[in-house]
Amino acid sequence: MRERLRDVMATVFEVPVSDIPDDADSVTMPGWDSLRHLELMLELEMSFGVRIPADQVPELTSVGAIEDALRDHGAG
Amino acid sequence: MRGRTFASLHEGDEGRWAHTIAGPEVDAFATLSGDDNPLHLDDGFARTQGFRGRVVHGMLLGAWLSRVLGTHFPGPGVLWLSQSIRFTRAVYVGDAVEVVVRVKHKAEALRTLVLDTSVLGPDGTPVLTGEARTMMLPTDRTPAWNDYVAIVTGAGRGIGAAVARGLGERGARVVVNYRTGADAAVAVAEAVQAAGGDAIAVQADITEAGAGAALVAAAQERWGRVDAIVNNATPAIERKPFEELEWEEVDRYWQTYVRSAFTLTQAALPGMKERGFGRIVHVLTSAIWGKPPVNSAGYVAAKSGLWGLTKAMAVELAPHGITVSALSPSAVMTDQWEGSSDRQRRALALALPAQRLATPEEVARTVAFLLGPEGAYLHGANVPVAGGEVM
Repeated sequence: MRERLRDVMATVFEVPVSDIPDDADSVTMPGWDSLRHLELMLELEMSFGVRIPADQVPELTSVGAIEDALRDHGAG
Repeated sequence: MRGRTFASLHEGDEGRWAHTIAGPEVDAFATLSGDDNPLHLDDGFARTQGFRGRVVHGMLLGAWLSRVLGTHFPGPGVLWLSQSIRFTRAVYVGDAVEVVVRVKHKAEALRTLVLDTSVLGPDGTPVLTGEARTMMLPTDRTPAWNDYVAIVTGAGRGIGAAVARGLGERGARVVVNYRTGADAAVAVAEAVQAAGGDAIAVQADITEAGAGAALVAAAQERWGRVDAIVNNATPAIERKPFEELEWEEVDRYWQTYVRSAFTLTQAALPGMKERGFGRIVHVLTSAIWGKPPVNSAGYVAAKSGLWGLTKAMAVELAPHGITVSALSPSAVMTDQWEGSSDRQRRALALALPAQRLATPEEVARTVAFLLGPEGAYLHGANVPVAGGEVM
Protein backbone atom coordinates (compact mmCIF):
# COMPACT_ATOMS: atom_id res chain seq x y z
CA MET A 1 0.00 0.00 0.00
CA ARG A 2 2.84 2.38 0.87
CA GLU A 3 4.21 2.23 -2.66
CA ARG A 4 0.80 2.84 -4.27
CA LEU A 5 0.24 5.73 -1.90
CA ARG A 6 3.59 7.27 -2.80
CA ASP A 7 2.72 6.85 -6.50
CA VAL A 8 -0.53 8.73 -6.01
CA MET A 9 1.18 11.47 -4.01
CA ALA A 10 3.92 11.81 -6.62
CA THR A 11 1.26 12.28 -9.32
CA VAL A 12 -0.65 14.87 -7.30
CA PHE A 13 2.45 16.81 -6.22
CA GLU A 14 4.06 16.41 -9.65
CA VAL A 15 7.37 15.14 -8.25
CA PRO A 16 9.31 11.87 -8.64
CA VAL A 17 8.30 9.08 -6.25
CA SER A 18 11.76 9.30 -4.76
CA ASP A 19 10.86 12.79 -3.49
CA ILE A 20 8.10 11.38 -1.28
CA PRO A 21 9.78 10.19 1.93
CA ASP A 22 7.98 7.80 4.28
CA ASP A 23 7.60 10.57 6.84
CA ALA A 24 6.29 13.18 4.37
CA ASP A 25 3.69 15.52 5.82
CA SER A 26 1.97 18.77 4.90
CA VAL A 27 4.52 20.83 6.83
CA THR A 28 7.64 19.46 5.18
CA MET A 29 6.29 18.56 1.74
CA PRO A 30 6.62 21.47 -0.73
CA GLY A 31 3.36 22.27 -2.50
CA TRP A 32 1.09 20.48 0.00
CA ASP A 33 -1.31 23.41 0.31
CA SER A 34 -5.05 23.32 0.93
CA LEU A 35 -6.03 23.02 -2.73
CA ARG A 36 -3.48 20.30 -3.38
CA HIS A 37 -4.75 18.55 -0.26
CA LEU A 38 -8.28 18.36 -1.71
CA GLU A 39 -6.85 17.04 -4.95
CA LEU A 40 -4.94 14.40 -3.00
CA MET A 41 -8.07 13.32 -1.11
CA LEU A 42 -9.95 12.95 -4.41
CA GLU A 43 -7.15 10.88 -5.95
CA LEU A 44 -7.02 8.66 -2.87
CA GLU A 45 -10.75 7.98 -3.13
CA MET A 46 -10.50 7.11 -6.81
CA SER A 47 -7.26 5.13 -6.64
CA PHE A 48 -8.08 3.10 -3.54
CA GLY A 49 -11.87 2.88 -3.95
CA VAL A 50 -12.62 4.36 -0.53
CA ARG A 51 -14.87 7.15 0.78
CA ILE A 52 -13.14 9.61 3.08
CA PRO A 53 -15.53 11.21 5.60
CA ALA A 54 -15.59 15.01 5.77
CA ASP A 55 -14.33 15.18 9.34
CA GLN A 56 -11.28 13.11 8.42
CA VAL A 57 -10.19 15.23 5.45
CA PRO A 58 -8.31 17.86 7.52
CA GLU A 59 -6.54 15.17 9.57
CA LEU A 60 -4.92 13.23 6.74
CA THR A 61 -1.82 15.37 6.51
CA SER A 62 0.96 12.77 6.59
CA VAL A 63 1.84 9.53 4.85
CA GLY A 64 1.32 7.64 8.12
CA ALA A 65 -2.10 9.15 8.83
CA ILE A 66 -3.27 8.52 5.28
CA GLU A 67 -2.03 4.94 5.37
CA ASP A 68 -3.85 4.28 8.64
CA ALA A 69 -7.07 5.79 7.29
CA LEU A 70 -6.90 3.83 4.05
CA ARG A 71 -6.44 0.63 6.04
CA ASP A 72 -9.39 1.57 8.32
CA HIS A 73 -11.55 2.11 5.25
CA GLY A 74 -10.67 -1.30 3.88
CA ALA A 75 -8.27 -0.31 1.12
CA GLY A 76 -6.09 -3.15 -0.05
CA MET B 1 -33.32 26.91 -9.78
CA ARG B 2 -32.04 25.07 -12.84
CA GLY B 3 -29.56 22.21 -12.58
CA ARG B 4 -29.00 19.63 -9.91
CA THR B 5 -28.02 19.80 -6.27
CA PHE B 6 -24.94 17.98 -5.04
CA ALA B 7 -27.09 15.77 -2.81
CA SER B 8 -29.28 14.68 -5.71
CA LEU B 9 -26.38 13.55 -7.89
CA HIS B 10 -25.26 9.94 -7.97
CA GLU B 11 -22.53 8.07 -9.76
CA GLY B 12 -23.86 7.04 -13.17
CA ASP B 13 -26.24 10.00 -13.49
CA GLU B 14 -26.09 11.67 -16.87
CA GLY B 15 -26.95 15.00 -18.45
CA ARG B 16 -27.30 15.59 -22.20
CA TRP B 17 -27.70 18.58 -24.49
CA ALA B 18 -28.19 18.32 -28.24
CA HIS B 19 -27.38 21.07 -30.72
CA THR B 20 -26.93 21.59 -34.44
CA ILE B 21 -23.90 23.73 -35.27
CA ALA B 22 -24.60 26.91 -37.25
CA GLY B 23 -22.07 28.78 -39.35
CA PRO B 24 -22.53 32.11 -37.52
CA GLU B 25 -21.64 30.39 -34.25
CA VAL B 26 -18.28 29.35 -35.69
CA ASP B 27 -17.76 32.88 -37.05
CA ALA B 28 -18.64 34.36 -33.65
CA PHE B 29 -16.25 32.03 -31.86
CA ALA B 30 -13.47 33.04 -34.26
CA THR B 31 -14.14 36.69 -33.43
CA LEU B 32 -14.36 36.05 -29.68
CA SER B 33 -11.26 33.89 -29.44
CA GLY B 34 -9.26 35.59 -32.18
CA ASP B 35 -8.67 32.18 -33.76
CA ASP B 36 -9.32 33.07 -37.41
CA ASN B 37 -7.39 30.12 -38.77
CA PRO B 38 -8.75 29.62 -42.33
CA LEU B 39 -9.28 25.96 -41.46
CA HIS B 40 -12.28 27.19 -39.38
CA LEU B 41 -13.49 29.98 -41.68
CA ASP B 42 -12.67 29.06 -45.27
CA ASP B 43 -14.38 26.06 -46.89
CA GLY B 44 -12.04 26.14 -49.86
CA PHE B 45 -8.92 26.09 -47.73
CA ALA B 46 -10.29 23.32 -45.53
CA ARG B 47 -11.08 21.18 -48.58
CA THR B 48 -7.56 21.56 -49.88
CA GLN B 49 -6.43 20.05 -46.57
CA GLY B 50 -8.64 16.99 -47.07
CA PHE B 51 -11.59 18.08 -44.90
CA ARG B 52 -15.23 18.11 -46.01
CA GLY B 53 -15.53 21.81 -45.33
CA ARG B 54 -14.46 24.27 -42.70
CA VAL B 55 -13.80 22.59 -39.36
CA VAL B 56 -15.54 23.73 -36.22
CA HIS B 57 -13.15 24.95 -33.49
CA GLY B 58 -12.61 22.15 -31.00
CA MET B 59 -12.86 24.65 -28.19
CA LEU B 60 -16.31 25.70 -29.40
CA LEU B 61 -17.35 22.19 -28.43
CA GLY B 62 -15.52 22.85 -25.16
CA ALA B 63 -17.52 26.05 -24.74
CA TRP B 64 -20.74 24.10 -25.13
CA LEU B 65 -19.45 21.64 -22.55
CA SER B 66 -18.99 24.66 -20.27
CA ARG B 67 -22.57 25.67 -21.00
CA VAL B 68 -23.87 22.25 -20.00
CA LEU B 69 -21.78 22.10 -16.82
CA GLY B 70 -22.71 25.59 -15.71
CA THR B 71 -26.39 25.67 -16.55
CA HIS B 72 -27.75 22.17 -16.85
CA PHE B 73 -25.67 19.33 -15.43
CA PRO B 74 -24.63 19.68 -12.66
CA GLY B 75 -25.72 23.32 -13.16
CA PRO B 76 -25.44 26.64 -11.32
CA GLY B 77 -22.89 26.67 -8.51
CA VAL B 78 -20.45 24.36 -10.27
CA LEU B 79 -16.76 25.27 -10.11
CA TRP B 80 -14.77 23.75 -12.98
CA LEU B 81 -11.44 22.65 -11.50
CA SER B 82 -9.83 20.82 -14.40
CA GLN B 83 -10.57 19.26 -17.76
CA SER B 84 -8.78 16.83 -20.00
CA ILE B 85 -9.80 16.93 -23.65
CA ARG B 86 -9.06 14.74 -26.65
CA PHE B 87 -10.50 15.61 -30.04
CA THR B 88 -11.10 12.43 -31.99
CA ARG B 89 -12.72 13.60 -35.22
CA ALA B 90 -13.43 16.77 -37.15
CA VAL B 91 -16.86 18.38 -36.80
CA TYR B 92 -18.47 20.54 -39.50
CA VAL B 93 -21.00 23.32 -39.77
CA GLY B 94 -24.47 21.74 -39.91
CA ASP B 95 -23.49 18.71 -37.83
CA ALA B 96 -25.84 17.67 -35.02
CA VAL B 97 -23.81 17.08 -31.87
CA GLU B 98 -24.72 16.04 -28.35
CA VAL B 99 -22.83 16.96 -25.18
CA VAL B 100 -22.92 14.12 -22.65
CA VAL B 101 -21.81 14.50 -19.03
CA ARG B 102 -21.80 11.50 -16.71
CA VAL B 103 -20.92 11.31 -13.01
CA LYS B 104 -17.95 8.98 -12.69
CA HIS B 105 -17.07 9.59 -9.03
CA LYS B 106 -18.72 11.60 -6.28
CA ALA B 107 -16.52 12.62 -3.33
CA GLU B 108 -19.07 13.59 -0.67
CA ALA B 109 -16.54 15.04 1.74
CA LEU B 110 -15.05 17.30 -0.91
CA ARG B 111 -18.31 18.27 -2.67
CA THR B 112 -16.40 17.23 -5.77
CA LEU B 113 -17.50 15.36 -8.87
CA VAL B 114 -15.34 13.59 -11.42
CA LEU B 115 -17.27 13.65 -14.68
CA ASP B 116 -16.84 11.74 -17.92
CA THR B 117 -17.37 14.36 -20.60
CA SER B 118 -17.92 13.72 -24.26
CA VAL B 119 -19.41 15.27 -27.34
CA LEU B 120 -21.04 12.86 -29.77
CA GLY B 121 -21.09 13.50 -33.50
CA PRO B 122 -24.00 12.97 -35.92
CA ASP B 123 -23.45 9.19 -35.95
CA GLY B 124 -23.41 8.96 -32.15
CA THR B 125 -19.70 8.29 -31.83
CA PRO B 126 -17.49 10.66 -29.81
CA VAL B 127 -15.83 13.65 -31.45
CA LEU B 128 -14.52 14.85 -28.08
CA THR B 129 -13.74 12.84 -24.96
CA GLY B 130 -12.31 13.84 -21.61
CA GLU B 131 -12.67 14.07 -17.88
CA ALA B 132 -13.78 17.06 -15.81
CA ARG B 133 -13.27 17.69 -12.13
CA THR B 134 -15.78 20.02 -10.59
CA MET B 135 -16.70 21.25 -7.18
CA MET B 136 -20.30 22.06 -6.30
CA LEU B 137 -20.49 25.34 -4.39
CA PRO B 138 -23.45 25.68 -2.02
CA THR B 139 -25.96 28.15 -3.44
CA ASP B 140 -28.98 29.79 -1.84
CA ARG B 141 -32.02 28.10 -3.32
CA THR B 142 -34.67 29.97 -1.33
CA PRO B 143 -37.83 29.95 -3.47
CA ALA B 144 -39.77 33.12 -4.15
CA TRP B 145 -42.55 33.58 -1.59
CA ASN B 146 -45.27 32.91 -4.14
CA ASP B 147 -43.62 29.58 -4.85
CA TYR B 148 -42.97 28.67 -1.22
CA VAL B 149 -44.65 25.71 0.52
CA ALA B 150 -44.74 25.57 4.32
CA ILE B 151 -46.35 23.33 6.91
CA VAL B 152 -47.30 25.07 10.15
CA THR B 153 -48.36 22.82 13.00
CA GLY B 154 -50.90 24.04 15.52
CA ALA B 155 -51.93 26.77 13.08
CA GLY B 156 -55.60 26.98 13.95
CA ARG B 157 -54.99 29.64 16.59
CA GLY B 158 -52.43 31.77 18.40
CA ILE B 159 -48.87 31.99 17.12
CA GLY B 160 -49.39 29.29 14.50
CA ALA B 161 -52.36 31.10 12.98
CA ALA B 162 -50.39 34.35 12.85
CA VAL B 163 -47.48 32.55 11.18
CA ALA B 164 -49.81 31.05 8.56
CA ARG B 165 -51.49 34.42 7.89
CA GLY B 166 -48.11 36.15 7.68
CA LEU B 167 -46.91 33.64 5.11
CA GLY B 168 -50.17 34.11 3.20
CA GLU B 169 -49.56 37.87 3.06
CA ARG B 170 -46.25 37.09 1.39
CA GLY B 171 -48.02 34.86 -1.15
CA ALA B 172 -46.89 31.50 0.23
CA ARG B 173 -48.75 28.20 0.19
CA VAL B 174 -49.47 26.86 3.65
CA VAL B 175 -50.64 23.64 5.25
CA VAL B 176 -52.65 24.86 8.24
CA ASN B 177 -52.41 21.93 10.61
CA TYR B 178 -54.80 21.64 13.53
CA ARG B 179 -55.76 18.94 16.03
CA THR B 180 -59.16 20.28 17.13
CA GLY B 181 -61.12 23.34 16.09
CA ALA B 182 -61.74 22.78 12.39
CA ASP B 183 -63.73 25.98 11.97
CA ALA B 184 -60.89 28.14 13.25
CA ALA B 185 -58.35 26.35 11.06
CA VAL B 186 -60.53 26.72 7.97
CA ALA B 187 -60.90 30.42 8.77
CA VAL B 188 -57.10 30.74 8.94
CA ALA B 189 -56.75 28.94 5.59
CA GLU B 190 -59.34 31.29 4.07
CA ALA B 191 -57.46 34.28 5.48
CA VAL B 192 -54.27 33.01 3.86
CA GLN B 193 -56.06 32.75 0.52
CA ALA B 194 -57.68 36.16 0.91
CA ALA B 195 -54.23 37.63 1.56
CA GLY B 196 -52.92 36.30 -1.73
CA GLY B 197 -51.48 32.94 -0.74
CA ASP B 198 -52.93 29.47 -0.89
CA ALA B 199 -53.75 27.14 2.00
CA ILE B 200 -55.34 23.91 3.06
CA ALA B 201 -56.47 23.10 6.58
CA VAL B 202 -55.36 19.58 7.51
CA GLN B 203 -56.46 17.83 10.67
CA ALA B 204 -53.78 15.69 12.31
CA ASP B 205 -52.76 14.99 15.88
CA ILE B 206 -49.07 15.50 15.37
CA THR B 207 -48.25 13.20 18.29
CA GLU B 208 -49.72 10.21 16.48
CA ALA B 209 -47.62 7.87 14.35
CA GLY B 210 -47.96 8.71 10.68
CA ALA B 211 -49.21 12.26 11.26
CA GLY B 212 -45.97 13.82 10.00
CA ALA B 213 -46.03 11.73 6.84
CA ALA B 214 -49.69 12.62 6.29
CA LEU B 215 -49.00 16.36 6.49
CA VAL B 216 -46.10 16.09 4.07
CA ALA B 217 -48.24 13.98 1.72
CA ALA B 218 -51.00 16.61 1.84
CA ALA B 219 -48.56 19.36 0.85
CA GLN B 220 -46.99 17.24 -1.88
CA GLU B 221 -50.35 16.28 -3.32
CA ARG B 222 -51.46 19.91 -3.53
CA TRP B 223 -48.21 21.69 -4.39
CA GLY B 224 -45.68 18.98 -5.16
CA ARG B 225 -43.23 19.60 -2.35
CA VAL B 226 -42.46 20.96 1.14
CA ASP B 227 -39.97 23.80 1.58
CA ALA B 228 -40.43 24.57 5.24
CA ILE B 229 -41.81 23.27 8.50
CA VAL B 230 -42.78 25.38 11.48
CA ASN B 231 -43.08 23.20 14.55
CA ASN B 232 -45.42 25.25 16.68
CA ALA B 233 -48.07 22.84 18.05
CA THR B 234 -48.40 22.67 21.80
CA PRO B 235 -50.63 20.93 24.28
CA ALA B 236 -52.35 23.05 26.93
CA ILE B 237 -49.62 24.26 29.28
CA GLU B 238 -50.40 23.46 32.90
CA ARG B 239 -48.20 24.62 35.73
CA LYS B 240 -47.68 21.97 38.38
CA PRO B 241 -45.11 21.29 41.12
CA PHE B 242 -42.54 18.72 40.09
CA GLU B 243 -43.47 16.25 42.81
CA GLU B 244 -47.09 16.18 41.63
CA LEU B 245 -46.21 15.62 37.98
CA GLU B 246 -47.13 12.33 36.32
CA TRP B 247 -44.75 11.10 33.65
CA GLU B 248 -47.67 10.90 31.22
CA GLU B 249 -48.08 14.68 31.54
CA VAL B 250 -44.39 15.23 30.87
CA ASP B 251 -44.46 12.80 27.99
CA ARG B 252 -47.28 14.74 26.33
CA TYR B 253 -44.92 17.70 25.97
CA TRP B 254 -42.14 15.48 24.61
CA GLN B 255 -44.49 13.86 22.13
CA THR B 256 -45.83 17.19 20.90
CA TYR B 257 -42.57 19.12 20.73
CA VAL B 258 -39.75 16.66 20.14
CA ARG B 259 -41.31 13.59 18.58
CA SER B 260 -43.44 15.60 16.18
CA ALA B 261 -40.46 17.69 15.06
CA PHE B 262 -38.56 14.46 14.57
CA THR B 263 -41.21 12.62 12.54
CA LEU B 264 -42.36 15.59 10.49
CA THR B 265 -38.84 16.54 9.47
CA GLN B 266 -37.91 12.98 8.60
CA ALA B 267 -40.96 12.76 6.34
CA ALA B 268 -40.05 15.98 4.51
CA LEU B 269 -36.31 15.40 4.43
CA PRO B 270 -35.89 13.32 1.23
CA GLY B 271 -37.55 16.02 -0.88
CA MET B 272 -35.65 18.83 0.82
CA LYS B 273 -32.33 17.05 0.23
CA GLU B 274 -33.24 16.39 -3.37
CA ARG B 275 -33.93 20.08 -3.98
CA GLY B 276 -31.07 21.31 -1.79
CA PHE B 277 -33.36 23.57 0.18
CA GLY B 278 -35.30 23.33 3.43
CA ARG B 279 -36.15 25.47 6.42
CA ILE B 280 -37.13 24.05 9.79
CA VAL B 281 -38.20 26.42 12.54
CA HIS B 282 -38.96 25.29 16.07
CA VAL B 283 -41.01 27.49 18.36
CA LEU B 284 -39.33 27.30 21.76
CA THR B 285 -39.83 29.56 24.79
CA SER B 286 -37.92 32.16 26.74
CA ALA B 287 -38.47 29.85 29.73
CA ILE B 288 -35.52 27.69 28.63
CA TRP B 289 -33.10 30.65 28.85
CA GLY B 290 -31.45 31.07 32.26
CA LYS B 291 -33.45 30.27 35.38
CA PRO B 292 -36.73 28.60 34.41
CA PRO B 293 -40.05 29.42 36.03
CA VAL B 294 -41.20 27.12 38.85
CA ASN B 295 -43.86 24.46 38.35
CA SER B 296 -42.95 24.00 34.66
CA ALA B 297 -40.61 21.00 34.71
CA GLY B 298 -42.31 18.99 31.96
CA TYR B 299 -42.73 21.98 29.66
CA VAL B 300 -39.22 23.32 30.20
CA ALA B 301 -37.62 19.88 29.85
CA ALA B 302 -39.36 19.15 26.55
CA LYS B 303 -38.70 22.61 25.08
CA SER B 304 -35.05 22.24 26.14
CA GLY B 305 -35.02 18.86 24.43
CA LEU B 306 -36.34 20.47 21.28
CA TRP B 307 -33.56 23.05 21.46
CA GLY B 308 -31.03 20.22 21.67
CA LEU B 309 -32.67 18.59 18.67
CA THR B 310 -32.56 21.94 16.83
CA LYS B 311 -28.79 22.15 17.17
CA ALA B 312 -28.18 18.48 16.35
CA MET B 313 -30.37 18.67 13.26
CA ALA B 314 -28.79 21.98 12.20
CA VAL B 315 -25.32 20.45 12.14
CA GLU B 316 -26.36 17.43 10.13
CA LEU B 317 -28.70 19.09 7.66
CA ALA B 318 -26.73 22.25 6.86
CA PRO B 319 -24.65 20.55 4.13
CA HIS B 320 -27.90 19.83 2.30
CA GLY B 321 -28.97 23.49 2.20
CA ILE B 322 -31.40 22.97 5.06
CA THR B 323 -31.40 25.39 7.97
CA VAL B 324 -32.78 24.41 11.36
CA SER B 325 -33.37 27.27 13.76
CA ALA B 326 -35.61 28.32 16.59
CA LEU B 327 -37.14 31.28 18.29
CA SER B 328 -37.95 31.78 21.94
CA PRO B 329 -40.97 33.97 22.55
CA SER B 330 -41.79 35.26 25.98
CA ALA B 331 -45.48 35.67 26.88
CA VAL B 332 -47.47 36.38 23.72
CA MET B 333 -50.91 37.95 23.60
CA THR B 334 -52.82 34.89 22.47
CA ASP B 335 -56.04 33.35 23.68
CA GLN B 336 -54.07 31.44 26.31
CA TRP B 337 -54.42 34.51 28.48
CA GLU B 338 -58.21 34.61 28.19
CA GLY B 339 -59.57 34.35 31.67
CA SER B 340 -56.69 36.22 33.24
CA SER B 341 -57.37 39.74 34.43
CA ASP B 342 -56.06 42.92 32.84
CA ARG B 343 -54.11 43.48 36.01
CA GLN B 344 -52.40 40.09 35.69
CA ARG B 345 -51.49 40.77 32.06
CA ARG B 346 -50.24 44.23 32.95
CA ALA B 347 -48.07 42.82 35.73
CA LEU B 348 -46.67 40.26 33.28
CA ALA B 349 -45.89 43.01 30.78
CA LEU B 350 -44.24 45.31 33.33
CA ALA B 351 -41.84 42.53 34.28
CA LEU B 352 -40.35 42.78 30.79
CA PRO B 353 -37.86 45.48 29.78
CA ALA B 354 -40.09 46.23 26.78
CA GLN B 355 -42.99 46.86 29.18
CA ARG B 356 -45.43 45.04 26.94
CA LEU B 357 -46.26 41.55 25.73
CA ALA B 358 -45.41 40.34 22.26
CA THR B 359 -48.11 40.15 19.62
CA PRO B 360 -48.51 36.91 17.63
CA GLU B 361 -47.74 38.93 14.51
CA GLU B 362 -44.36 39.97 15.93
CA VAL B 363 -43.49 36.33 16.49
CA ALA B 364 -44.79 35.50 13.02
CA ARG B 365 -42.54 38.12 11.44
CA THR B 366 -39.51 36.51 13.09
CA VAL B 367 -40.59 33.13 11.77
CA ALA B 368 -40.92 34.62 8.28
CA PHE B 369 -37.43 36.10 8.67
CA LEU B 370 -36.03 32.66 9.47
CA LEU B 371 -37.93 31.07 6.57
CA GLY B 372 -37.06 33.70 3.98
CA PRO B 373 -33.83 34.65 2.22
CA GLU B 374 -32.73 36.60 5.32
CA GLY B 375 -32.48 33.33 7.23
CA ALA B 376 -30.31 31.54 4.67
CA TYR B 377 -27.20 31.60 6.85
CA LEU B 378 -28.83 31.04 10.24
CA HIS B 379 -28.12 27.49 11.32
CA GLY B 380 -28.90 26.47 14.90
CA ALA B 381 -29.94 29.98 15.88
CA ASN B 382 -32.36 30.62 18.73
CA VAL B 383 -33.84 34.09 18.41
CA PRO B 384 -35.31 35.52 21.63
CA VAL B 385 -38.55 37.30 20.72
CA ALA B 386 -38.85 38.23 24.32
CA GLY B 387 -38.97 41.98 24.84
CA GLY B 388 -35.62 41.86 26.60
CA GLU B 389 -36.68 39.20 29.10
CA VAL B 390 -33.76 37.03 28.08
CA MET B 391 -30.51 37.93 26.32
